[in-house]
Amino acid sequence: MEPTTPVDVRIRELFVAHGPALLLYARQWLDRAAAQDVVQDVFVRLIAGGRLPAEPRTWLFRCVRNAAISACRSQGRRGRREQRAGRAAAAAGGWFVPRVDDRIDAEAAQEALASLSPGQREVVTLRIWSGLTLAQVAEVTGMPVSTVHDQYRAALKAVRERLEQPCRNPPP
Amino acid sequence: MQEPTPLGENNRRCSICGAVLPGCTCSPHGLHHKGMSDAASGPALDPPEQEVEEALASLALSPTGIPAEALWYRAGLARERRRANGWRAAAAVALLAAGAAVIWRPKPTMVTVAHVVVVREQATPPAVAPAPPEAAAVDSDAAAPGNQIASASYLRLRDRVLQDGLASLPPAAAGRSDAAPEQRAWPLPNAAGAIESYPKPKYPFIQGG
Repeated sequence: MEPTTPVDVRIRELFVAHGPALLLYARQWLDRAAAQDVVQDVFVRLIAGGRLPAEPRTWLFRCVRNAAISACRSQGRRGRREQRAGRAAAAAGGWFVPRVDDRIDAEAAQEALASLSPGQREVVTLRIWSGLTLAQVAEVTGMPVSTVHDQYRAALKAVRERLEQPCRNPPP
Repeated sequence: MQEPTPLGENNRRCSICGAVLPGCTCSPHGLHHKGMSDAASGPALDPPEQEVEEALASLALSPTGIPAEALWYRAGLARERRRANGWRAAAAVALLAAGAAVIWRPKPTMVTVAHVVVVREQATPPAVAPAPPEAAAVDSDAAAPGNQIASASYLRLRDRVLQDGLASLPPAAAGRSDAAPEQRAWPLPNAAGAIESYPKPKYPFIQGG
């Protein structure tokens, strides 16, 4: 099946533009393979439905969130997995692709993000890599906007403190 | 509706107002929103926080690893499965309706149908109810085949003679000699045989007289 209708073309554009961010968002709860399944299922459902929601981007992130949490619950270890998902991310595959012109180290940034609480990490992921406004982040997460903003600021502060820590293993 | 683009792309946006960062005049971003009562507004980010935000936004996300062909293939399968499910549902509903119609069909009831029987008139006259002896005699005479016309004319002639006397006989029957013997009414050419051939009258006064 090839995208032929305008709706399908638009869905393909959404997949290309927001697929990586959706995958990263789903990986807050799941490992990479399960997160891929969740993202794929959401897009399959959107394509099979044949019509776009009013706000496709918000809809996609909300659906990915619900599906990821549902998948996490089905595995029965949500609390531990949420805490462990970030820490185990490095072993299961990086969140970012390292580049030479990165302003911060990708691996260090991933570790710093993994150290955040699940709520803070979710807000940072949605805000920075999904391009959602704080109001849209609040809509996706179901939190008040003020709470989202507080979480966001606290997360940025925690990441900064984490990145400013001296390296424990200095090069010889 | 303008959709903000991800911060990792070229046009980064203010975390509060969503304006494109190179064109956003607030420094630090969000300061001009401090007086707003909008719940979306809040304390502005400090420069260190902005720095961290921009540094994180500069990171490139790892690709999804989901092949687009597989995605569209699965979507096509799901779409066709949904259509097939629609047809299955329609078939199931039709089957249920047919079953219900068979189960709850109305029982046959006694229906009285008024038939109109048309009986055509038959060539043979129907049986007549028993009549008085005189009428029965007349009828028996009339029922004899071949004698119906002769019996009728005889009976008319007889009635006329009985009523008016012999004067009522026609002239030819009164004894015209030039008429053919077969055409003369009286005396008959073979009166004895003719009288014998006539059906016997049933009237007692004729039989007696």
